[in-house]
Amino acid sequence: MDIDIELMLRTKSGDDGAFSELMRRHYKGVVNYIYRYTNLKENSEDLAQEVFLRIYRSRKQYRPEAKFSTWLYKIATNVSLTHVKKKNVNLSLDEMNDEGGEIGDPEIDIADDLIYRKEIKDVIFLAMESLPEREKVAIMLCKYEGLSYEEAAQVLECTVGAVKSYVHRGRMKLIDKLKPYLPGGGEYGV
Amino acid sequence: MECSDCRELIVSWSSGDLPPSGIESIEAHIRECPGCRLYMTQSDRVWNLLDEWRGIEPRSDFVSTFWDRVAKEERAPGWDVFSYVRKLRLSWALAGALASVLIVGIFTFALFKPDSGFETYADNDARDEQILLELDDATTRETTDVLSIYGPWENRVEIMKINGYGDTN
Repeated sequence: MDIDIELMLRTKSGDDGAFSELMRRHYKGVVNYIYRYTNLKENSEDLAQEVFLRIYRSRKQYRPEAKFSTWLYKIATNVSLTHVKKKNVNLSLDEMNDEGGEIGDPEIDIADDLIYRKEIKDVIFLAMESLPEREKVAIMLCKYEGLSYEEAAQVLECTVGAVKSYVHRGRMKLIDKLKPYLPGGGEYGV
Repeated sequence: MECSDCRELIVSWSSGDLPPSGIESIEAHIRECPGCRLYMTQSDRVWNLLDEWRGIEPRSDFVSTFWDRVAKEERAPGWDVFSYVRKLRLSWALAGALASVLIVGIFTFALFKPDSGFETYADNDARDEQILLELDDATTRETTDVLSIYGPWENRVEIMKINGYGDTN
């Protein structure tokens, strides 16, 4: 049996330690998913806790019908989307965190590198933000969270083919947006 | 193969999700199509560029903070009324018995309670009737006074006789 499902079933039967273990396995991924979705570092951990709180509250109704991670990211997507809508968060550069949260490598952690990383992070965020919601979520799940197309399809409640299509269309749009930042960027014809 | 088909399959190809036959046809197309070749290169580069947006390192006390939050919310009044009821561990039979006693009590009280509402209604009714009678009397007196200009009713027979109208019998 999948370890996540086993931990969730133990949580269902009253073992809070199992839920702690489940959180340890996934909280970094959820925090970073929310961070990239909202681009707000400070709120990411609070929102991630809200995600786990929702799961914990509904533990008695849990049925192991799908992978735990798909359920987790579905809730994380809903929480992030609700937060963005509710707070009417201005996802402009003004709201972005200056720290960026990068884990600096001492050898390359120089000022130029930091400036580059800040700029590229902002550029990528804005490019992602310009995508339709499902294309953005599909790329975030597959690229950053390492979900398979099948798992992303479960999160998005669509077919695997649709996820591939979202990723493909998203990538095409990202090429246009990020072309100036590619080494040797240029036009491609038909 | 059309360029649009090829570019759609490039995503699957780069993620190793294509059957051998698909790989062969894509490779054949890319060898002859510089546009798709450039698209494939840029697609891969964009995909790799996304890695430049690095993640954040959450606080190490995430799990303990979570449990603090759970404890705080459970202590908060009115957090979840049903959970408190559940904690009482009342059996369904006991809950049913309590509900039955409550219903019987309400009906018994309603049945034997002196119905002061009816008396109030009767008093009001009598008072209204009295007011109507007084009004009727007043109207009658007023009407009598108005009609008195035509003389006393007891002389009417005599007047008719005088005027030659004959016997009223």
